[in-house]
Amino acid sequence: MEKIRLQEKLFNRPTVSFLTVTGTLGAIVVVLAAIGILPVYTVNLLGKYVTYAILALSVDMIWGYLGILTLGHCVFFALGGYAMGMYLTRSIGAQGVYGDPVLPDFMVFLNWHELPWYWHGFEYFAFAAVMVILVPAALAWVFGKLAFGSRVSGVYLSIITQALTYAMMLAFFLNELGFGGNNGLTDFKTLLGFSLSTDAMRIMLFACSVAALMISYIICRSVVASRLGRLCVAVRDAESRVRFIGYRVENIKLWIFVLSAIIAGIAGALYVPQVGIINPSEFSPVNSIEIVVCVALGGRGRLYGAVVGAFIVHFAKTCFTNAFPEVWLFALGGLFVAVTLFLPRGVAGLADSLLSSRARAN
Amino acid sequence: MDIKNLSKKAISKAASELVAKPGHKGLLVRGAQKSISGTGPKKRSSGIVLYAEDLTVSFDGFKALNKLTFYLEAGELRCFIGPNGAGKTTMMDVLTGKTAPDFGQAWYRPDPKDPDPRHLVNLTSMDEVSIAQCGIGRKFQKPSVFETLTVGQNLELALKGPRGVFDAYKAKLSATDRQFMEEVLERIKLEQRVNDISGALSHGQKQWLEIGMLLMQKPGLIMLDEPVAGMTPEEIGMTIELLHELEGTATIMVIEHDMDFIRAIAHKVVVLSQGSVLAEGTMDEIQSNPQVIEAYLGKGME
Repeated sequence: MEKIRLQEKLFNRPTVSFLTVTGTLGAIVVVLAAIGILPVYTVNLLGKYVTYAILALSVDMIWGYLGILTLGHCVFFALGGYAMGMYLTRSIGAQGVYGDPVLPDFMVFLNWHELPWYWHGFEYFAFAAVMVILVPAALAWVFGKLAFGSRVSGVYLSIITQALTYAMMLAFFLNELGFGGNNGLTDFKTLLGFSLSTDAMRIMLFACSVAALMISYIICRSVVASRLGRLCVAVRDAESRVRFIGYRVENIKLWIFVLSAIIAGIAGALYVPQVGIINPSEFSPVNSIEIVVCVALGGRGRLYGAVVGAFIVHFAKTCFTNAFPEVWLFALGGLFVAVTLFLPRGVAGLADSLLSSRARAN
Repeated sequence: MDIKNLSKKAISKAASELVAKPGHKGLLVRGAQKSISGTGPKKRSSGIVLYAEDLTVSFDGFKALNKLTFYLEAGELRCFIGPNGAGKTTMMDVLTGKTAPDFGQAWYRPDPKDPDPRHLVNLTSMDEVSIAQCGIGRKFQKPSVFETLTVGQNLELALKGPRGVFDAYKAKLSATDRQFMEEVLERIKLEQRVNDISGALSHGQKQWLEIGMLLMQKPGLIMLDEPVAGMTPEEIGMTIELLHELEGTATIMVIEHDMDFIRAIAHKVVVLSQGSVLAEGTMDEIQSNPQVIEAYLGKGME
């Protein structure tokens, strides 16, 4: 009998290649920036791309492997970002414009006299770091419990995810909520006592983002390579059949969704110190759709595709918004249509078929 | 047998009149089922693994099942036939939790060797996942396998074992499991295709793979909905062999239209018509039964 092959190795060839390439490129950027060849502005921009890549990875887990099209995943990204932003705001201390040792500037401006209860604890980095994970996870758990428990799926689920992020955006616009209203949180000074404006700090943040990308990738890969990963694919292909062999599909969806939200939250937390601001526009549905386009362009269901897609789309976005800012949304829409029509398996799929046709030619 | 059937029907009729009250159908029936769940099925026998009593399902006034009552003995192979719309698939839908009955009860004995009536489970109050977990496996009319997974991976997911999310994350195939999978592969004649994507299999092979997935679940009760539809005569022959091998190890329910196939496998056949049992007996008895002939051919054909 043929040997039964069920499980791929955790570190299979694409995984090893991805980790090697990412690690090497990351190290090269750090070295070039440290010796002053690469401008720190570029490093900062690349660091931003890396956080988008982590976010795209998290979307690929649930869209690529579970088939759940989320159009609101930035809600978790932004929540992670706000948790980090709250820590950075508390670290400003008395260096703010109004010089209040406890209250952030916007609270003094609003004539508040006491710190709201949910701002307590954020003066400690460890507490904020836990919240970066806990808050997105809790929202994902509650949302998933309700949505998957009542078997909402397909387009309806996509619309609900979009409504969720839109509702959060409107809520965070309110000054009364205590997160700085439409200005958000900004004017950050230090992280763990080190100034955020130094070159060394920016390079450090980039390096941390690359490390986070690699760790997230390994975590996602460990799920995908396990029986759980095959179960996800089964749910994607024939959900009701999975129920009839005795698996609780809603639990599978729930836990993958929570994992994905946590990864998205961490991406948000790394994003905020690098761009220096977090405001409600991060909840905007357009951002979430951009990430979906990244995953589609890169190629669903193969992890590295999402990362490649995130870099291509956000590089294009940087170019477009510099040259002709008003056409970016049209370009994004056009890109999505073009990928759907001509590259249904994305850039990674194209690379796959090129490689396999060359292998056949040999 | 006729007398036995009659008395069963009389009892169920009396019972249904007691419980069913017009006006509050949905709510009242749910409550009624809960109260029944304390008492268990009306008929008591330790050899019976499935008690289906008075199952009634209506879709917009059309009664797909009408007080359907039957009992399955442990280890038997029972065939269900009947004209289109007789309620055969709806019966399986109800027993596997896909459709909730308006009325009636279905009790299942997860362990046929355990005679304690308190260990019976009430299928009408369970969803499809809990029913599958207590050992009822089903093959659907349309072959449904996980097309982008390999044959082996399909079998792996069906393998009996803990069904939690974290169990699946940590799961490793043990040597015993691997051996069992090899046995199943041999039985369904797909040893050579184990690492192929199941979407690439022929129709008949997909049917078998699905049967293989059932075997992996090690179910106590197997439900097969038209297992040989679309199979070649050779493949049908192999399926008959497979069912003979399985007989006795599990209780099996088969729905089929192919009469030769049924003649080859069945000892006892149940004919359904308009949602209830029209006749029960051996194939010969059934085929000479004038009521059955009428149900199949219609009155105008006499």
